[in-house]
Amino acid sequence: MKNAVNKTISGIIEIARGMATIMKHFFRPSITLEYPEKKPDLPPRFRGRLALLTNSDGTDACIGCKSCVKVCPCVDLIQIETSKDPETKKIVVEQFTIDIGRCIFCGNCTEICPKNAIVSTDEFELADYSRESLVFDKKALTLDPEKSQRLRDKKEKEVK
Amino acid sequence: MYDLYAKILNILRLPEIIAQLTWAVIPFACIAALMVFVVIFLVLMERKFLAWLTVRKGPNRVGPNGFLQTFADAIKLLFKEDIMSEETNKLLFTIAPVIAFAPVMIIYGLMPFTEHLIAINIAVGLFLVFALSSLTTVGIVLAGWSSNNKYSLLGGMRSAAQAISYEIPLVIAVLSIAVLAGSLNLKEIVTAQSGGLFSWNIFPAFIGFIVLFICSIAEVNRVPFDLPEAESELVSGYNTEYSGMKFALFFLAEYAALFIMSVLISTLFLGGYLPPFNDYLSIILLDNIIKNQAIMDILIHLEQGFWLVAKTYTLLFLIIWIRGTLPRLRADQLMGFSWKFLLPLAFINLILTSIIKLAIQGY
Repeated sequence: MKNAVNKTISGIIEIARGMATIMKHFFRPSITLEYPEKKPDLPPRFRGRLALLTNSDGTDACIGCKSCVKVCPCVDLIQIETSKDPETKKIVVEQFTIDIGRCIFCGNCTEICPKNAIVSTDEFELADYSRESLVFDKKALTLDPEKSQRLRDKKEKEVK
Repeated sequence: MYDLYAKILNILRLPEIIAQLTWAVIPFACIAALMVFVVIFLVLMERKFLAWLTVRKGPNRVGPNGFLQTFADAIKLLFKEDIMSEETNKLLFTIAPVIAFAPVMIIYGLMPFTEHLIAINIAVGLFLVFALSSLTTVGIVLAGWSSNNKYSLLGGMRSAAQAISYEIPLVIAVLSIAVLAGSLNLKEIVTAQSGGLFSWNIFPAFIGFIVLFICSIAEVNRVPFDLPEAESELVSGYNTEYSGMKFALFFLAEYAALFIMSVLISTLFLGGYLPPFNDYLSIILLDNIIKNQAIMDILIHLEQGFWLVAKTYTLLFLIIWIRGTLPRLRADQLMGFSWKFLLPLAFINLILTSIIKLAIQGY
């Protein structure tokens, strides 16, 4: 009998405590992010769509070393065509194509890149109506100098 | 009132027989409309409050702040295809939602919402309410059985077991009210509690209030006693196979029962439509201003409605709050709780209230 009464009282106290905790939540602002209207604030290491950076003078940061092609786990995902400029003897990147539809967003290419030319952006809304439109060519991948700088700054912060 | 109605139809040049036939349908239509509106906004209220209790936003897309969400859901449900699998017992499968729904609707007619707003005022109203509320279980068991689905069957069986074991403490807890009021008529039970907050039945029969509250949650299959439709183990229990209109009927019955149970608890224990003061607020505040008796009567009538709605929705909020807090019980815990805990408590309450009644009245 005494045991039953004790159990009842402790049960009531426990339930009341639980309900008080839930009541505290009633007055909290909701943590729901109403996604299509409000975008999430993504961390710098977020691995979204790949992009090519440009230097501040507008030239490509990519030097055409093809390290990313070697390290990429998806066969023929990154396709680079280079040619040698006959005057300056420098390698010029003619074509740089990434099939984002097959990309697994592992980020190996961004790690191996000696010039940090290829980076992951925080763009993740990649749905499209055809596979062909997910193949990004050099023009679509390259960011203008201003955006490149902003992205570099963001990645810098992450290192520190 | 009937004379007025007959006169209106007479002006419209309709024969008297139509007036006689349709007169009986009017309360029915009013109750049906009331029920649907109550359920639509109750579901919305539950979804919103539950969202706020769990730090979410809840429905906020349809209409201003999601106000019309349940209307959209209801319209969607009505237009859904009515699927019935090959092996089901067609007749029972169709009848089951009706059996679950109809008793709840009759209970709406029995409730004294205000002094005059009571469709069926009979001497044994309280008895009839509990007789009908246990009929709903038959519908659920039939639904589970006729679906030819093991999840449905398990849900139906659990519902039967649960309803049988919770009906007993429920009725014994309510018996104390019959002792206190000396009547089974719901309106007389309410008027017996007149005289302010401290003459409400909750004070002599507080244990009974607790027992009835817990049992009524179990009776309408709500968390933490929602074993008949436990999503995580039984898909969705007895209504797994149901879709479209039939599912809507089950849904309607469930929420209508939830509302009417809250009305019942506030009628039996919290003074029903009576105010928590010695007299009606409109009399206390406006007695010197308004001299016209007819306007005063209308005001009092509205106030009675307000008090009942306020009490009912307080209880409903409590039930939603409990839903947001407590986890579901195990089947054996459910049974043990009813038989070993609530039943003795209900008997203790009955004895206590009888002693109090004797002490007050002296016979």
